[in-house]
Amino acid sequence: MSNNNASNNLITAKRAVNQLRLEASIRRIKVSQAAAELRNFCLQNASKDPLLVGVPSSDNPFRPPKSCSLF
Amino acid sequence: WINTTFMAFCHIYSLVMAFRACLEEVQLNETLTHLKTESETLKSKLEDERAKLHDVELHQVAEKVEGLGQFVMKTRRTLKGHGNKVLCMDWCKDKRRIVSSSQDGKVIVWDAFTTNKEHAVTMPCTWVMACAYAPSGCAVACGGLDNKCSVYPLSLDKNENLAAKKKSVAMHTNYLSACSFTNSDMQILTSSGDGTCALWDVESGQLLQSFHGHAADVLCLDLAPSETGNTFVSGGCDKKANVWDMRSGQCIQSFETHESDINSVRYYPSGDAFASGSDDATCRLYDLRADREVAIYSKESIIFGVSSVDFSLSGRLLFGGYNDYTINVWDVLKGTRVSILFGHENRVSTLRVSPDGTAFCTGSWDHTLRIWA
Repeated sequence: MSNNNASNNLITAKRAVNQLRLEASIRRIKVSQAAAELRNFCLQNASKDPLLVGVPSSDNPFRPPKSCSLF
Repeated sequence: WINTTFMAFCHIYSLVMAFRACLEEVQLNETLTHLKTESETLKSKLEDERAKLHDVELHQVAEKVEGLGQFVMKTRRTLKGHGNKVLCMDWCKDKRRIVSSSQDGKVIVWDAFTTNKEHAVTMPCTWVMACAYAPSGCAVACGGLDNKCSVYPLSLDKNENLAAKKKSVAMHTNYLSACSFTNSDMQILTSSGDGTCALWDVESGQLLQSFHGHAADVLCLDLAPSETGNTFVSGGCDKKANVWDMRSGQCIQSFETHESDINSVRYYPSGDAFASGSDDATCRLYDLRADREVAIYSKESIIFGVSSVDFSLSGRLLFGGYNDYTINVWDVLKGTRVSILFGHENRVSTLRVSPDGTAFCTGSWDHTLRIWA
């Protein structure tokens, strides 16, 4: 019976080792390069981001449009 | 004397078998120790590889970027109608409809422009922790303590009983924590308290792929933006965020830097990174190509857990819903908080930015949903 436990532990341990081998082998880039690309993506898309730059009230369906009264 | 010889023989036989069992156990234990050592070595190697490439911090790279000004974001709509805590919500691709689910078992579809309720379904269970809108806008999926994910086609006829057309799709062995349609109405991805995620065919209810690797309840998931390919990220009570290949079921990357349960994960709009929110009161950003955490969004004054996170369209802003009833808005690049929003009268449990980025919606334990813009 204790052999069953031991072989279960073995299977789990083998899986963990295989998973770690897989994760250790992936290709990585430097943080400086990755961070630069994140920054560039933000900057390139900034003008199209309504919550960031704000859109005129008339274009935003959730904001009440400013009413204009004429006498 | 035949008896005695026979007895002696049996005795020797059982001794030999016991000896063999002992030998096997010793061998197994040796292999186990060997594997454990290899495991430790690999973990250490992984940390070293990641550290080697850690040449700079994200906020340093963003030093020259112009700072963000003051933000004026207010509640523009309040959706009232749930009888108990709102647990989850999702936007329809039409940018105006919303589905929300609650502890009282109700799932409601709203028109966020007018705040009208368009559909309501009562689930057979309480705590409907997950809900999602189908890409076509013609159906919603939901589930929770019933351990299932069910799909309800939405009918144009408001009088039709939606519950009659319900289709049970996913079956887990513990609560459903999150669900999401893939890029079509045909497949659903689910995560569960049973520690697994799974991909299902909606029509047949067949399990297409299961994802094993979390050591405890999986609380959240998010699909990579369609251009990036077939992956998704999940977060769990084991403090890990795992990135999975949807076709093979393999966990391709794993991140373990949070100090408590991960309640929410969301991909950065480019698909190259994802953010997470945790009970440890921090939000973190992980870059997938650098394979490491690249930013932490936290303040000493923030001590309550984050329940839900989402990015603005450009990825510059990260919105976090917190258990202290507030929403904190972070500058993703500089790592600073740009705004704190008040309004809810209880925990914020769910938060999603609208598909066109013009607003975001929050759901709360105060029974309401709010649209902010």
